[in-house]
Amino acid sequence: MSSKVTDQADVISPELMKKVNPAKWEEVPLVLNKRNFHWVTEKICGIVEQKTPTWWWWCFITAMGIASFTGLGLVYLVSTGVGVWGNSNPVNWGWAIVNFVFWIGIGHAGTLISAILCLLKQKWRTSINRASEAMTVFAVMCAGIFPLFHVGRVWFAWWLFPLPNANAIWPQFRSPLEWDVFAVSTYFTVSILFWYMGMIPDLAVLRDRAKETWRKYFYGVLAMGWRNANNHWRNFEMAYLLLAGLSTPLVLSVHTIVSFDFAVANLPGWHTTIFPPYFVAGAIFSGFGMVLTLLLPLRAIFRLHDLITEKHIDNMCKIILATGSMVGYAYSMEFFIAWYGANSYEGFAFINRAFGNYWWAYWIMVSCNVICPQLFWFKSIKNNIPLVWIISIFVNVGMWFERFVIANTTLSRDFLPSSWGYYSPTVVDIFTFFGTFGFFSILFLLFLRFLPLMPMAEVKSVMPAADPHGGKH
Amino acid sequence: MIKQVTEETLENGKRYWKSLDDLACKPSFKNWVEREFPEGASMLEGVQRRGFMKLMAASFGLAGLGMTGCRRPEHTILPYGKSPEELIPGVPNYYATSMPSAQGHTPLIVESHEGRPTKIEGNPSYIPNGGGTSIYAQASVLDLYDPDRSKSSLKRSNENEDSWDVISSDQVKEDLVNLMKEGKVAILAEKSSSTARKALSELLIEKGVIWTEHEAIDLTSPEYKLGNAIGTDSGLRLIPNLGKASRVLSLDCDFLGNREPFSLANTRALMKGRKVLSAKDAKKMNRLYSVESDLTITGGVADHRLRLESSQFIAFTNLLAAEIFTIRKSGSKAEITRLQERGNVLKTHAKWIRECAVDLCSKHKSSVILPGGHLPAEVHLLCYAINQALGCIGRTVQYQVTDKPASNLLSLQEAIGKDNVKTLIFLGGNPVHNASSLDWGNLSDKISNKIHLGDSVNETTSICDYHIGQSHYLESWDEGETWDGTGIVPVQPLLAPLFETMADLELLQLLLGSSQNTHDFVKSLQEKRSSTDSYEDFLRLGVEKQMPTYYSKEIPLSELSKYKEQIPKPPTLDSLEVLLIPDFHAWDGRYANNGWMQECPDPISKLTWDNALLISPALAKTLEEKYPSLGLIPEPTMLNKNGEIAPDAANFDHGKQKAPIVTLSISENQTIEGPLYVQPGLADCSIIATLGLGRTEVGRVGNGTGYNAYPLLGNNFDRIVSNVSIEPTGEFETLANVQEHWSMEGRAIVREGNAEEYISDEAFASHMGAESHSPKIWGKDQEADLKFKAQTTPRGNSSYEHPDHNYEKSETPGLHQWGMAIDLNQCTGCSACVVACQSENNIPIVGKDQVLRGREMHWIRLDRYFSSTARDGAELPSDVQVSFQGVACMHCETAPCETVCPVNATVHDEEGLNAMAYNRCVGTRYCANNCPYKVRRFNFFDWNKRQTDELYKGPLGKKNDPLPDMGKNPDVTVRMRGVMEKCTYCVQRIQESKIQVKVKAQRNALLSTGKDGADIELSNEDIKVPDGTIKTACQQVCPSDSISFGDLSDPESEVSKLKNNPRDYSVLGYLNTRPRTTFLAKVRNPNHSMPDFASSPHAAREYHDKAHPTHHEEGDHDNHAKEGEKH
Repeated sequence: MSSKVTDQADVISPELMKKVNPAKWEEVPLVLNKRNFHWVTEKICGIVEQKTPTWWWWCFITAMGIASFTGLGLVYLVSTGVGVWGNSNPVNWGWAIVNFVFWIGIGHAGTLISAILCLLKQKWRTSINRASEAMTVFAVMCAGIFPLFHVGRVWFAWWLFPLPNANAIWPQFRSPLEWDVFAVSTYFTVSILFWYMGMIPDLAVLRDRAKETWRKYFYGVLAMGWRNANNHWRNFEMAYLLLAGLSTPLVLSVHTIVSFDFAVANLPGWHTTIFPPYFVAGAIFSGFGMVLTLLLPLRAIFRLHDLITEKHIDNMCKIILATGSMVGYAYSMEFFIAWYGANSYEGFAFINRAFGNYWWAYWIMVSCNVICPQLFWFKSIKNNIPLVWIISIFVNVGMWFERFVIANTTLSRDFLPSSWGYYSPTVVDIFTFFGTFGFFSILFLLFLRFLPLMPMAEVKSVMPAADPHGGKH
Repeated sequence: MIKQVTEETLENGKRYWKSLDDLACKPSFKNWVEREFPEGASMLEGVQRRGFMKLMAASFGLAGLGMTGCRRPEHTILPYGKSPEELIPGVPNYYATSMPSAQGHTPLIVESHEGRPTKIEGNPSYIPNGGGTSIYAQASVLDLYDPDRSKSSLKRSNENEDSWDVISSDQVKEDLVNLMKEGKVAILAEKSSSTARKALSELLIEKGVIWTEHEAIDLTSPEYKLGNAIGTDSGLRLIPNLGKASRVLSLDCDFLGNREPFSLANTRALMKGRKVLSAKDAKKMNRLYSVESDLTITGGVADHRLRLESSQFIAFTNLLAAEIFTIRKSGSKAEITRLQERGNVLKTHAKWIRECAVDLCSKHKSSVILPGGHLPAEVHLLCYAINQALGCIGRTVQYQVTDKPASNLLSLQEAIGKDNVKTLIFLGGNPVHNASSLDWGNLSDKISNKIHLGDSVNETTSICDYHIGQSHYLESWDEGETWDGTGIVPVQPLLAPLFETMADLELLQLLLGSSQNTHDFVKSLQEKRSSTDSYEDFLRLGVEKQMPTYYSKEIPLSELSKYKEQIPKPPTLDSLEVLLIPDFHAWDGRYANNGWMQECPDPISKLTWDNALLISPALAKTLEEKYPSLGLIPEPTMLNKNGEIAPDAANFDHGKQKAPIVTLSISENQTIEGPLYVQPGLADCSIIATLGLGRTEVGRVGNGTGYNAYPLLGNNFDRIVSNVSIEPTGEFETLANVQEHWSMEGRAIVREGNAEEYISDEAFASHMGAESHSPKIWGKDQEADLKFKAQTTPRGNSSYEHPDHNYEKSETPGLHQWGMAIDLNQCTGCSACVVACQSENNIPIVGKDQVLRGREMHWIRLDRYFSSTARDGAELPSDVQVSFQGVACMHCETAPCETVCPVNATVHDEEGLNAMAYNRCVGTRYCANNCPYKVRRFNFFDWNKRQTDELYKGPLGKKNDPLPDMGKNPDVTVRMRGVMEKCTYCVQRIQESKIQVKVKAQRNALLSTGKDGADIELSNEDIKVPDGTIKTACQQVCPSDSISFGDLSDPESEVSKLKNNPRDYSVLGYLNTRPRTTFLAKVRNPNHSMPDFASSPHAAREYHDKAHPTHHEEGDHDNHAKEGEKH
C-alpha cells in the first residue's frame, strides 16, 4: 500500500519528493523467486504425493513410541487411581492442569492466524495458516486428555455434559470447569470446521491429481464434490469469512475461560481480574512460539524457503515480541496490584512466587517469556533462523513454566500456613506429559503425509500472477 | 524370633500349621516382615463362616446377660433364626463398660451395631470425665478387629524349636491345671487397676504363687516414692481437684497429656476454670504455670512456661519451696536457707520462681503444685510440703491412700535366681521388650515353662514356649477402679470372643482350679460389695461409687533435710540429658499395631508413623556447627531472611522431612539410634526420646515404625538419663510430618488476647484480620441477630447476587440451622477428636508413604502453631507459645467449594450443611483447591479396598483383610477411590436424632389423640430436635467441651449463645465464605510481674506487627492491642 502512496506522491509533486528524498520502500513479495502457480501446486502436492520418505517413518515410529507413554500412563492412572500422580492436598491439581493450559495455549495461534489475520487482511498468513490450524486442532486434542483423565472417576466424566437424565441432575453451570467443557469443545469444533473447510479446494486438487484408486476415493470423499465452480468459490469465500468471524471471539474466549479456572477461585494469586487478557496474550505468545518451532524445520526439510520467507518469520517474531512484552507487563502489574491492593495474602502470594519454594520455576518463566523475546528487537537475531528456532523453544518452555508457577505456587502456600505443602510430580506425571508430544507428532506427521501443508489456492491468490492489474491500478 | 520361625517354616513347608496362625506360612507374612512401609490395620485371612456360625450360637446363648447377641458379616446376609431380644436391625445398642488399664479403668459407653462394637464413648455417669474419653480408648476398638491379633493359642513344637503348633483351648486349660499342680508358679503381670484380678491374685498368693507386676512406664511409682519418703508403707496418690484451683504450677508434669494419669479429669476440671464468656469470667480465670523440659500440651496451655532440664527439678523445687515457705512463714530460717542452698544452681531463674511463688501464695488454698511422675522422691516430698504450706491439701489436691505395691521385677529375678520358679506366666504386657535391661536369655534358661498371655505375638512371646491369645476387653468380664478411687466400674463384654482367646481372669481362675466363669465371679464380687444396688444396675449405670481414704497428716519440714546428696549438675550441650516419655502413638508400645494411633499426628511434633529424638534449637545449632553435613536446620531462604516467613524447623526436601539419624549413648551397651527433630520450646540440653515404637515383633501396622528407646532405660527404670553423648551416623530418615510450617505468619488465624485485653475489650477478636478493616460484609445488617445472619444472604458490596438462602421462602424450609462453635481457649490439643472422627466416620488410614505425599484423610485436623517474641530473621525461636486449632469442614454458607464443582456433587442442604454426594462426585478436586481451609480429602487410591503397601499395584494389588470392616459404622458410607470427602457434621447422628424425635412425637400424638401419629400433622415444634441431643463425634469425645454443636435458629441453644459471644470470629472472615463453624478467640492469663510477661500473646503481636508495620517503632510491641481497638 505504502509503495503505491509513494508512487502517487511521485507523480503529484516530484520536486517535493526530491527534497524529502524518502527511503525506498521495498515491497517484499510473499512468494520469492518469481515462482509460478504450477510450481506452487507441484511443491505442495509433491509433499503428499511423493514416496514416503525414510525420515518420516523414523519420526513416525519414534512418535508412536513416545505416545505410548501417554497411553500406558493413562491405563495405569485409570486402573489404579489418581494417586499415581504427584497431586496431594493442598496441591490438588498438579501437572495435569498445567499441561492442559499449556496445550490449549498452543492451540491459539492457528485460529488467530487463520481468523483474525484473515479479517485484518494480512496476506502473509496464507503460507502458514494451514499448518497452524492443524497444530491447533492437534494441540486441543492433547489438551483435552488432561482435564478428562485428571478426574478421579473418569468413567463418569460424561456427567460434565448437560445430558437429560431421569434424576434431573444437571451439571453446575456456575463452575468454570463446566465453562471449560463448553469453551473447549466449541473451540475444537469450530477449529476443525475452519481447518477442514479451508482445505476443500486443495483436497480437490489432490483428488484431481491422484493416480492411485485409494487416493481418488480418499480425496474425492474429502473434497465433497468441489468443482472449482464460480459459485463454489463464492460460497466458499463467504463461509470462510463467516467462520473467520465466528472464530475470532473464540480465540479470545477460550483462554479467557481457561483463565477463569483460576480467576474465579478465591485463592491469593489466582483471584485476579488481569488473568483473561494476560492468558490470551500468553496463549498467542506460546502459539506463535510453537508455530515457529514446527515450521522452521519443515521449511528446511521441504525447501519451502520461497513460500515461508524471511518476512513471515520476521512477522511472527514481531508478534512474539509484542505478546511477550504484554505477558511481561502482566507479570509486573500483578506485583503492583498485589502491593496496591494491600491484601496481605495476595502480597505474600506474589512474593512467594518470585522468592518462595518455587522461585526457580518463576525465574525460568521470566527469563524465557520476558527476557528471551526481547532479543527480537534486533534484526540480526530475527534473521538468524537457528537462533529464532531456539528462542521459539524457550518460549514454549517458559509458557509451560508460567502455568506451573500459577497453578502450584498458589496452591502450595495459600491461606493457612498449617496446610502448606510442596508438590513434585511423579514419573507417571512426567511420562504422561512427555507422551503427549508423541501423540501430537503422530497427528502432525499424518497431516504432513496426507493433507496439503499449505492452502495452495490462497497462496496463489497473494502471488503477483493472481492480480490482473499486476499490482498497479 | 517369630521372623526366623517363619522363614524356617517356609522352607520346610506347611507341615505344622493348621488354620489360624498359618499367618506365619503365608507369603504375605514374609512380605510384611521385609516391607518398608507398614500398612493398614486391615487384613487377616477372613472371618471363617463356620467359626462365625459357632460364635453366633454362643452369642444367642448369652443374649440374656445383656449382650447383644450376634454379629453380622459383611458379605453374607444371615437372617436371624430367632431374633435376639432388644435388637432392632439398623438401630444401635449402647452398653456401659470400661477400658481397663493401669491408669484406672475408664468408664465407657460402647455403641454396638448388630453385635459389633463400632464406637466408644465416655460414660457421663462418671462425673470427672464427663463423657470424654482418651484418644487410646477411642482407638482401642480397632484393636478388637486387628488382623494381627492372636487368634488362638500356640505351643512351641516338640520337633522343631522354631515352629509353633496351634493348640485348642481345652488343651490350654488342661496344661495350665497340670502346671499348677507341679507348683513353683510365678506370674509376671502388667499393672492393672482391676479389683477382680486383685482378688484372684490374693488367692493365688495364698496358694504359693509368686505374684509380681511390672509396667515400663509405671504411673503408680510416684505414689510409692512419696509414701516411702513420708514413711507410710502404702502409696500416696496425688489426685488433683483442678476445678477448685485458681493457680496451678506443673513441675515437668504433663497432667493434661498422655504422660500422667487422670488426664481426662484434669483437662475437664482445669479447662472449666479457663472458660471465659464474659469479663467476669476472665477475672476468675485460673492461671497455669508450667516448668518443663519437653514441650507438652500442658505447656501449650500454660500462661507462663519455663524451659528447664528434667534433672534440674530438685534444685528448682527446693528454691520454690524456700520462696513459698518464706512467704507463708512456715519453716525455720535454717531450713529455708538450706533449701535455698540446694536450689542455688538455678539462681538465673530466681525472679521467675519468686514471682510465681508470690502468685501461688496470693491464692493459697486454691493453688496447687503438681510434680511429674518421673521426678525423684525429693521433689514429690517437697511438693507435698509446699501443697501443705499453701493449705491446699483437701481442697485442690487430695492424697489418696493406695495399697502396698505388688512385688516387682527385681523380686522375680531374685526368685528365679533361687530356683523358686519352674513356671513363669506373663500375664499380658511385654516385659522382654520394655524391661530390656534384664538378662532375659539367662533368666529364661532357668525356667522350664514360660507361658505368655498376650493379645498378640510380641517380643515376650519369643522367649516363651507357650502363647495364649488374650481376649480384648470388649470380649471379657472384669471390674476395676477408676484412678481416683471414687468409682468401681464394670468391664462388660459387647460380644463373645471373636477367636479362641482367653481373658486374664479366666486364666487365673483356671490356675485356682475354680470352675466359676468370669461373669459369675465378677457378679459375686459386686454382690459381696453392695447390698443395695443390683448387679443389673451396676452394669446399666456403669459406675458404682466408693469412698477412698485420703492422707492429710502434716509432715514436719525437718523431714526434708534428709536429702543431702549432691544436686545433679546442670546438663550442658556436651553432656546432655535424655527424658524418656511414653510415645504418643504407641504409649509404651501396646498401641504400636493400631493404625489410627500410628496415623494420628503427635499434637506437638505433628509426626505420624514415627517417633524422633526431639532436640532444642540451641542444641541443633551447636550440632550443626559441629557436624555441618547433618542438615538439621535448612538453609534460610530469601523469604526467611527478610522476615516474610519464619524458617522451617526441619529440613524439608520436596516437602518431606529429612532427619539425620544419630546415636545416643550412655555407655557402650546402652545406645540407641534415632532421627533428630528440632522442636522449639524444649529445654536447651534435653533430648526427648519416646518409648514404645521401634518394636521388632509386632503386627503389620507397627512393623518398621520408629526407633526403640528402651535400651536407655536402666534397671531402676529412671526415665531421666544423664551424661548422654550424641554422634551422627551419617544416615537420614524421612519423617512423615503432617504440618511443615509452624508459624502463623502474623495471619489472624488463631486470634488470641490476654485476659486484661479481653476485660477491656470483649470483642478484641473482631478487631483482627482483614475483615476488621474491609467494608462491612453485612452492610447495614452488621448488628443483626444470629438467626438472621445464618439464614439470609448479605448484599454487602457484592455486585453479584448470591443465591437466596432464605430458607423460610424455600419449598423445603430447614427446620434447624446447624452450626458449630469451637472455643480455642478450651482446646488443649489432646487430639482425641481426630481419632473419634476416624472411628465414627470410617476414615481409612493411608500409611506413612501416603502421609509423606500429603494424602492423610483425617476429616478434622488439629493445626498447631508456634509463636514467639520478635525473632531475628531466620533464627528459630526457643521460647514459644502454642496455639491449637481444630479445623474441619466449616460448612460455609457461601461455600467456595460448591460453586466450582462442575457436577453439583457438593451442595448446600436446607439445614445449612455443606453436603457431599459421593455418588455424584467425579473427582475434579476443584473444590479442594478452592477451599480456603483445605479441609477436603480426596481418595487418591482405594484406601478401603487395597492394602496400603499395594496401592500402586492397582487392580493387581492385594485386597484388604475384611476383619476391620466389622468395626465400621454402618451408618456411614465407605468411600471408593476418586471421590472427595470431608466432615459432614456427623450427618448420620443428625438424621438419627431427627428420626427419634419424630418417632417420639408421633408416639405422643398417638397417646394424646388416639390417632396414629402418621395421620396427624406434627407441628414444627414437635419435631424440632432439642438442643444438646445431637453431639458430633469430635464434640462428644472432647474432655474440655471445646466444641459446641447445635441449631443456630434457636436463640437459646448453646451454640447460638456462643456465637453471639463477642469472642466469636470466623477464620478468614474477609473472604465472605460465612462459615457455620466459628471459633472463640483464645484468652491467655499471664501475670504482670513475671519476667516473661507480654502485654499481648505472641500470636497477636505477630499479627499486629504484620498488619500495621508502619504503626510502631521497634520494641514498641505493647501498644498493638490498643491499636487493634482503633480499627
